[in-house]
Amino acid sequence: MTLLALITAACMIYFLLLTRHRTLYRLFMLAIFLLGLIFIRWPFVTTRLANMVGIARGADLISYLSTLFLLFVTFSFYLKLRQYEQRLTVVVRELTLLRTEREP
Amino acid sequence: MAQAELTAGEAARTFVVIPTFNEAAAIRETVRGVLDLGLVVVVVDDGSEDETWAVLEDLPLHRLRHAVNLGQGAALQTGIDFALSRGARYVVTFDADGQHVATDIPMLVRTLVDQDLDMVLGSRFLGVAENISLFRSLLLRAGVLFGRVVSGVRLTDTHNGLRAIAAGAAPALRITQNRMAHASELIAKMKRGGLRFAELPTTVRYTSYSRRKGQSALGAVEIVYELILKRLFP
Repeated sequence: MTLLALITAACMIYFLLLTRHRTLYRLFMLAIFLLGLIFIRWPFVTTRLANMVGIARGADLISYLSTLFLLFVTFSFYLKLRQYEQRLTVVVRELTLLRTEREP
Repeated sequence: MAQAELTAGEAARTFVVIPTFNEAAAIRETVRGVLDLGLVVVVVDDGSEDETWAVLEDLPLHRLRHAVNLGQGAALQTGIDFALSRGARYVVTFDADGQHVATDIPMLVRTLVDQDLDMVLGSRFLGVAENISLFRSLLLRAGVLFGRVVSGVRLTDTHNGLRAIAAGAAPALRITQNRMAHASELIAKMKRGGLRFAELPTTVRYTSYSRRKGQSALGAVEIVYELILKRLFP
């Protein structure tokens, strides 16, 4: 599998996890965290992984992954904001209609 | 052209929803034009910071108010929900700034009833666009073309706030776009629901007042942005 295909697959999985299961999302974040610890303790692992997907340096792999990760975190925040705006609308609308009922 | 007339019964079940934001200066006159036709008026104050709410106090209409500003689309949907809850048979959307002409309303509703349609849209390009600036005219027409490409509906004026909707069709036309993209959303839903519609010539008056407050070029960018994002990530 090419690097691009791998990344795309990872993105899609991330996307799905984000929007569906809170537990899976948390597991995913936990995995990222543990992975981070591993990379710090054993840096050569990053080089090995990088080579497996055709990248020369481990640091480069980290850069690419971090960029993707940040992009998706940003995106998930955006989705969350949209969701909150929808909720706000529902609440304000209900309040509006309730207020009108109280007045003659 | 003969003036369209509504029966008293029809007029009593015609709710005109007027979403409003900071239109204290124009709202009374706008509302009076509609009240004079014997129709039910629902003004939705979308969190105005001026005296819009107070200015309407003594008038025989329904006053609704959003605690915070949500956008014209949201205000319209609130008004529509309210109208339906009060037994409306026909819901008309109407702008607060005086750009629309109240006497166009009976014509729209008459057509809605007589031809058993779900929605009747007003078109300034079929009708009259008084004092429109060239820039705005071009911008709107570009918007119409874009709308045609994106949604495949053949209309001449896709961003006209004057519409008549049959109560039965309202659920299919639920507005979820709170801000300016609601106009495009309505048209898209109209098409998706296979609704029966017509476009009629109406008048839009551009005065120096409304020109200042009217939809800017930035608004057009926002519409395209919201449309594209919504299509990519529904």
